[in-house]
Amino acid sequence: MLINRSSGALAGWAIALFSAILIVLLFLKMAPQNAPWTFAINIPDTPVRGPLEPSADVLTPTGEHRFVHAASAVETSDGVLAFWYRALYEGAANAEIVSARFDGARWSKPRIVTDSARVSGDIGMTVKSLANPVPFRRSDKEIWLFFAASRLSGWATCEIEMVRSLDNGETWGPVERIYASPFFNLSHLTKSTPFLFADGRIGLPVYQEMNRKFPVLLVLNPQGKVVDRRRIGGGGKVGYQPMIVPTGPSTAIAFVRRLRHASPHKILMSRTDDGGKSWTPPAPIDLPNPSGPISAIRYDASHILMAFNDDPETERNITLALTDLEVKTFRRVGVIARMDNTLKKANVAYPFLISSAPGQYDVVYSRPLGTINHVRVSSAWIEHGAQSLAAQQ
Amino acid sequence: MTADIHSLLNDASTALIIFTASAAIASFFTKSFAARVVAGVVVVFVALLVPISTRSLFEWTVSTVGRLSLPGLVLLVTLAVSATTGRRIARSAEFRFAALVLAVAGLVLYPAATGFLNYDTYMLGYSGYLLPSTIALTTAYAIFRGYRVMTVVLNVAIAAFLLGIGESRNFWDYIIDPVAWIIGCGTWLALAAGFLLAPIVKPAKVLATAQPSSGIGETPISH
Repeated sequence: MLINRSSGALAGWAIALFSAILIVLLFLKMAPQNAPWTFAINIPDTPVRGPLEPSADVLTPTGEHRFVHAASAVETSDGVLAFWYRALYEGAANAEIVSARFDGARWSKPRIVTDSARVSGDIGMTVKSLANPVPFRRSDKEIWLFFAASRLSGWATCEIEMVRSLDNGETWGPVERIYASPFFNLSHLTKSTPFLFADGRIGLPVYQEMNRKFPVLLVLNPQGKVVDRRRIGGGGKVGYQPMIVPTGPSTAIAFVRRLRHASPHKILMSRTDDGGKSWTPPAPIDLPNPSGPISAIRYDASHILMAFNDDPETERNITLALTDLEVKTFRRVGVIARMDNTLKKANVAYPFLISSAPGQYDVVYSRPLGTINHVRVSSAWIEHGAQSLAAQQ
Repeated sequence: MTADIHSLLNDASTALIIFTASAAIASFFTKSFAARVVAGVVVVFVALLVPISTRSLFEWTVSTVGRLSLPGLVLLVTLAVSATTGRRIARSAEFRFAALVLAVAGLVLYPAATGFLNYDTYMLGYSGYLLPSTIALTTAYAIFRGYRVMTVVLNVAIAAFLLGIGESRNFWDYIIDPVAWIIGCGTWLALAAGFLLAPIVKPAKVLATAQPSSGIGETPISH
């Protein structure tokens, strides 16, 4: 009896001691990092060169009968690698994420990166549809591809997944879950380009879809695990699909797509001046938005290049514009795609802009009922367009 | 291999949820331990076989719930034991305290993290001292009261977080999940309802013939 009581007490003390050690380790692990967040700033070299005419082509094969949408792209050593998703209709089961390669002259045939069945197998639960692939160049050979997977039905039941390629997109590894929410890991989606922090962490702009729609910045460690999450603005019914462009070591702009029924019909913008830890509430700027996503990159030391739908009601065109780093002045440089008014639902949607070489810019976009399209423009075209439009004004 | 482990853990969580819910429902109709277990197992198999649209009910549940946290898993196992054996776990002070902690934690976490509030409490699970301090106090109280199971579960959850086991790097995901929150809230709602209805039910019991009770739990596990 005495032995039992003393061994019980001993066990109690052992548990208490073990708990104390774990709690100390927990405090050490969760100690706040007081180091400032800083963006990796890469000011591109922008020589004025290249043809004065854009070149345009179609990535999807002739007679593509599936719904194709949300194209994105990443530069490769010999061209561009584009991604998009296709399914019987938007949100349909058995969707595929596909890629195609551009060598400067023509696009390769689309290849399947992954599909609903493979994602289901890799994460151990059935997913319905896939959407919004966004690539991130991790190194010269390594590409990470983030995308959204709907687990039940509808985009509100999405979680974010990632696949890695160690050979520049030739082959892809197993799907990994990006854990971003405590509520069954629902409901976040991707749309825009990830970026690097100076310490090697990765910023992944995403958005919350269920209940409220607001933009979110996920911070991933170099292994690809979410280690922080910040709302762009406080939250609420705000806007979605943020596009973040770092403008300085601790400053960045987030362009935000407005909600469909929200006014005014303008692009929203949020700012950070503490490396992304906190963001101002998204506010309208002086550019129209039909509730379409915005794509933007750093153009040179003092400008951002944007691709957007320059219309308050419909995704009627895709326009490129230059803005200063404070996003106070805008110079439209030209329209690169227009809606075909003779067709129903022939809107030009979801532009995704990259710089594939110094002075060379590629935009991929969708006409969702059939084609993924590509336009290449040069810095010469951009400068010429900016000057011409300025002269007209 | 990793995919198999993911699948196994997800499926086990769902099987446990369906089994527990079915055994609990069966407990209203039978006092037999075997019958309740059989009911739970049969419903799990039915869920595997019954298609709803393109998937089985089991697959829909897996896709909804995913994987439980360790505390959620232990809580659900406790409920499963209670549902099949008839042990009245709500009489356990340890269970009530664990359920209260989960209910309060979920109330702090989920409405804010899912956008109902403009402050994101999920961030507290990445870094900072607030959540560890709360867990330290909870653990200290559990040790003080001699709640051994709860202490061990919290320790294992902390160790899993420290070792980076699991897909999340957020401490919240190691100590709570929405199913555990629902169970915690349900437990305290049931306790509150019992407390409020007791003055009404007790006089009726005086008039009723004394009968052995059935249903979820008559025998306390402890306390």
